[in-house]
Amino acid sequence: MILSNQAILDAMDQGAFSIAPIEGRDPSSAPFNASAIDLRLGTEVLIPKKNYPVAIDLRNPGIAGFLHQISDRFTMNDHQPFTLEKNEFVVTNTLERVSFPIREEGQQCYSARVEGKSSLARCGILVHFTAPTIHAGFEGPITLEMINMSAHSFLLFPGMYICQLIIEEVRGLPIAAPNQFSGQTGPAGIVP
Amino acid sequence: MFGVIRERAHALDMDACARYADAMPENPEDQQQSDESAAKTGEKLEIRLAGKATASAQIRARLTKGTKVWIPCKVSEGMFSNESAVEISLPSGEKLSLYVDKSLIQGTGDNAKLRVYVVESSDKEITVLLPSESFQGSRWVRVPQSELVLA
Repeated sequence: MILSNQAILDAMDQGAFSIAPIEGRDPSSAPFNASAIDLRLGTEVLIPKKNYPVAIDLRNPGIAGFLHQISDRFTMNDHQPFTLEKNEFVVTNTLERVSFPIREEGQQCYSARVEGKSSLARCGILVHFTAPTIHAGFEGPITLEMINMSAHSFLLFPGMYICQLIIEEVRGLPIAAPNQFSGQTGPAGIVP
Repeated sequence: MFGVIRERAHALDMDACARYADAMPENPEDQQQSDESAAKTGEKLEIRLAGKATASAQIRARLTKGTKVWIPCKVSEGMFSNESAVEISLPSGEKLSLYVDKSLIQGTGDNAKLRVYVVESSDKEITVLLPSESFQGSRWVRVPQSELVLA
C-alpha cells in the first residue's frame, strides 16, 4: 500500500520512519505530492574516471573501498553547479537522510522506492535507472545514479528537487526466509 | 555476466571478532554489572564474539527483532563524504563489502563496529540484517548465540 501525503506525515510523527530535513509540513505543498515526497539533490557528485585501465569485479573483496578510487568527487554550491554532459554518468545523493528502521514485532515497517520527476524526465535526465528500492533497515542519504540522455548539457544545483520517494508498507517482518538456511553446513550455513 | 547473487546469511569470522574480547572485564562481576546496566538503561547492545563467555539470559531475552546491535568490521573511505566502505570477514576467508552511512559506524580502520538490526533470534544464534546490500549480494549475517558477549 502506497502512503498518501498525509499518511507520510502521520507515520513520521509516530516515529515509523524519518526523512530529514524536510522543507515544510503542509501536505498540500512542496515537498509533498499526493502520494510521494520530493527529495533534493545533495552537494556531492562522483564522476567515474574515464579510461581507467580496470574492469570492475564485484567479487573483489575490497570493491567498496576501490570504487571511490576510480571516481573523482565534485562538490557543488549555489554558485557552482555541476554540468552534466550528454550521455554522461555520475553518482550523486540526496540532501535528505532517510531512515526506515526494522521495528519490533507488531509494529509496521516501511520501505520506499525512489522515482524520477516528470520535469527532469522531459529534459532527458535519469535520476535512477536500476536501483530504486530503499529497503527496510536502510539509513542515510539515498544514492542516485544519473545519466543525461538528452542532446544538451544539463546543470545540476544542490537543493534542487531531484527525485520523489514513494513509501510503502512492508507486510510482515523482513526476516530471512527459512529455506535460505536449510541444509547448509558451510560458513554461510548452519552453525554447529 | 555476474555470478549468482546469493540471498542467504553468513556466519561471522570468529577471528575477526576475537579482538573485542580483549576489552572484556577480567572480573566476571564487572561483566555481570555491565550486562545488568545495559538491560536497565536500554542502551544499544554491542555484540562481541569472544568465544569465552556468554551473554546473560537477561540480555539474550532482549535480542528481539528490531534490536540494534553492533558487529565488528573494517572500514575505509566511502564514495561520498557521509559514508564508509565496510568489510565484514567470514570464516571461509570470504569478505562482504558494502557502503553504509557513517552514523552507523563506531571506531576506525580494522577495529570498527557496524550497527545492525536483529531480525531473528534463537537459543543457538541470531541473524542480523546489514544496513544495505553487500556487493556480494547478502544482507544477512548469522551470529552464534553461544558466542555472544554484550558490552
